[in-house]
Amino acid sequence: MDKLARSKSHQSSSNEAYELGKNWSKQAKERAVLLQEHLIKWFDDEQSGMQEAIQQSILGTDFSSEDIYFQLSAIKSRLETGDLVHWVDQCTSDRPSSDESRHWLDAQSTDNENIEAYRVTQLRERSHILCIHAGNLPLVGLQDVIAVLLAGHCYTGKISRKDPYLLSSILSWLIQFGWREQIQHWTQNTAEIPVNNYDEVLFAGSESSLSSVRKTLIEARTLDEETPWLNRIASFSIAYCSSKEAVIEQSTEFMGALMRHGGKGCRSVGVVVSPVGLNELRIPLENAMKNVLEQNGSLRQANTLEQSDALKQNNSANLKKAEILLQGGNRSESTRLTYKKAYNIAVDRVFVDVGDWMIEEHPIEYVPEPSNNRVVYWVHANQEDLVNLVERFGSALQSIYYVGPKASDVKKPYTYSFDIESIDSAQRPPLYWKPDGIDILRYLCPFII
Amino acid sequence: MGTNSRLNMNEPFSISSQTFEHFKQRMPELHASLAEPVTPFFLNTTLNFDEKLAQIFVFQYLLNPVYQKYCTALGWSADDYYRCFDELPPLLPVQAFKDAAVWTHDALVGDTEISTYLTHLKADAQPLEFLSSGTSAMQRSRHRVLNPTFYDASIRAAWQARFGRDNWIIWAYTPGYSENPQSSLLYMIDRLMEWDHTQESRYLSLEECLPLQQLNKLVGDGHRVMLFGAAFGWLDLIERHERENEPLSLPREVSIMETGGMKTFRRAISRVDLFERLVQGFNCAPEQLHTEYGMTECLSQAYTSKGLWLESPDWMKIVVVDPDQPNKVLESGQEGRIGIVDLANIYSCSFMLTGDRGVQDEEGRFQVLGRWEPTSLRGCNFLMEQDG
Repeated sequence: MDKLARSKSHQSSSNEAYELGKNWSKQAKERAVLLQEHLIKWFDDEQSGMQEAIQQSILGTDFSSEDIYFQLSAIKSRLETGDLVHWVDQCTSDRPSSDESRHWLDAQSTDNENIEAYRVTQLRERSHILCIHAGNLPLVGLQDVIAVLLAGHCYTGKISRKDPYLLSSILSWLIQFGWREQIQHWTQNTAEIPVNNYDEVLFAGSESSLSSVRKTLIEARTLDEETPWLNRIASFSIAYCSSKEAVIEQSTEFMGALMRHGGKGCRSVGVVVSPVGLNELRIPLENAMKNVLEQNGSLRQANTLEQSDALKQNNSANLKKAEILLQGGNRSESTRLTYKKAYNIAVDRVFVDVGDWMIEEHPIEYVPEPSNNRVVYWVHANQEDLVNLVERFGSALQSIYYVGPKASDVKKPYTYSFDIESIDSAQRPPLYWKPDGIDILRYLCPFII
Repeated sequence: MGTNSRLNMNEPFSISSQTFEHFKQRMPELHASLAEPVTPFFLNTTLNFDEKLAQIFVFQYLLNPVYQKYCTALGWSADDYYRCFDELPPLLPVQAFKDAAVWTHDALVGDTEISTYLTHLKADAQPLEFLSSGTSAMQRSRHRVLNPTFYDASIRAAWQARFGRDNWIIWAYTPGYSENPQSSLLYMIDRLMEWDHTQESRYLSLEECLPLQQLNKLVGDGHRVMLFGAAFGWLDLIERHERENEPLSLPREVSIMETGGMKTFRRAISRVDLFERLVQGFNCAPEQLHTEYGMTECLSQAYTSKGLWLESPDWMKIVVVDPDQPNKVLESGQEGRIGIVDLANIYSCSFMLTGDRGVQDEEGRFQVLGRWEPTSLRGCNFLMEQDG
């Protein structure tokens, strides 16, 4: 195609895209209102299946009941705040920032310009999106489901085996309310994902599982090599604590950011940077950690009661699994921690440990990427060092939170394009938050101008 | 609760005269070996492996502050001499060589330097300090060897145990030792070259093909040649020969020693694939290929004895342990984390937990299957996990 023809073609597709965007905006807002209403009903309606899904999750997954209820409450409150309508409004009023566009483009491995052109022409309304939810938090993947539905696309999902009940329950509920056309299929097994002409794959999970999943799907001819993938693989977040007082004042939120969901999930804090040394904060941190664990202690008792209920209902398979999780898992964790403590003592590393949790201080030069959910690294350093650290961790890093001063007081690292968030929002992000810096709804609608 | 002070590496560690007397009486052979060295203690033939291990445990518990704190925190004490016959003493993660000063020789007995009594601990004019590979920005393992006698003895004895007492000419397809004096591997290669009485051993240029004509001449003269090099160095050499249309065909008298990976090349390949490519590329028999397993933190090496299985020398014991409970030795066939007891490591720590994943057979031979943490890529061993 010569330059003139290409220019004409571009202009024509721009006009078309403008019209499409205008229509989309109107329809998307209607979908947001409806979806918001139907999701809130899932929480409120006793017949929605939510309670059953919660009980199944308590007995049949690694999640604690407290984490499940916390997550559900966080999502519900965001729905009631009107996050979905806000998301659509935000999406139609903002152009994606150049950083944001670059970010997802950088994530692709082939020629970026070709991919963008392909996506704009291919990803029209009612495109077919395959979502692979490989994370390990309650209701992991809900944001992707919502984004696909709001965008007007069709959803097929590979549900996380670690969270098999909650998202399924929501999907089953929604199809009773007219979402059947968009929600096409979901399964826990990769092998059962139907062959379809998928326009896009959204993958959220660990980098280690990404290539094997992709290979399996291509070998099974579920996808072809050309299908675009959006991979979100960040694994942890950083908190910047400006002062001792700030940590003490916000200890509940701070500990939540570290310890909620057993430290799992990319929004959980794996590294803390602070101009205050860990030694100075030993006592307040120990107390705060103990408070969290005391709550978990009562949780274990609650789980035991639930186990006896399960016994009465002959739910022995789930009970056995729950016993293994409660006993075997903790014993192994405890032994591992004994060795870790001995090691820290041997090399004179400053650390704080409570229960099976540990915070240990590392020099800025050598602090590694966190590898254990229950071991958080503390770096005694200032904001300049934070900048260097963010650059070093690169795509493994999800979010930066501040504990103490307002976000504007925290200097944003040059290479970091997202907002620096308050520690309060670490485990209660808005439904329109941007995993790996990407607005999923915006990403799914490249046709909006 | 953790301790609060950083280890002062310059501050001598002191033990009482009474404790030292206890050591002398309890471990007469080790004391004699360090006081008036004739034969390195690890090669002592009057004691069995466990007896030597127990003596070294007590010695290192008393004189290595890092190891002492580790053991104490795990419920071990200097009185656990006999316990060593029933179970393995704690294995110190090799990461400690990065995070702390893991050595025994700065101790004071009362006010007197311990080397006054144990002359073997006196510093040579040029003590050795080995660093693991990496850039200056990386945290590197530091292994200080005050007196190289033990290392030299270990290199020679392990080599002779595996390859016999015949003379070997060593050609190294590696950087030279003089430019990299902090590499324990290159120190070892340098010693092996030094012991070649033909003086034909040398470092080869990394930018050139193998000098096949010279190699064939050495073989024709009745010599045996061992080529040392890193895994990907060999693959590069094969490619170079292909590019320059110089077909490789290795004479039967020439062997190849693969020494692990090179950090600058972050390609992943399984060991099985690597061996297949080397056999094909060099046009040689599988028996001509050998692997050396060693690390900066360790003064002894293991060599492959059959195929991919490695065998350690008599004074080095390999165990495969449960990664979450390193005191639990796994049965043969089970994958776990590789632990090493190297009795030649008298100056530092003989009881080490590596970051490598491995498996052992019923005869005690072992295979290295990759790094325990897949994201951790460190110098020696970064081959992708075993096929299948």
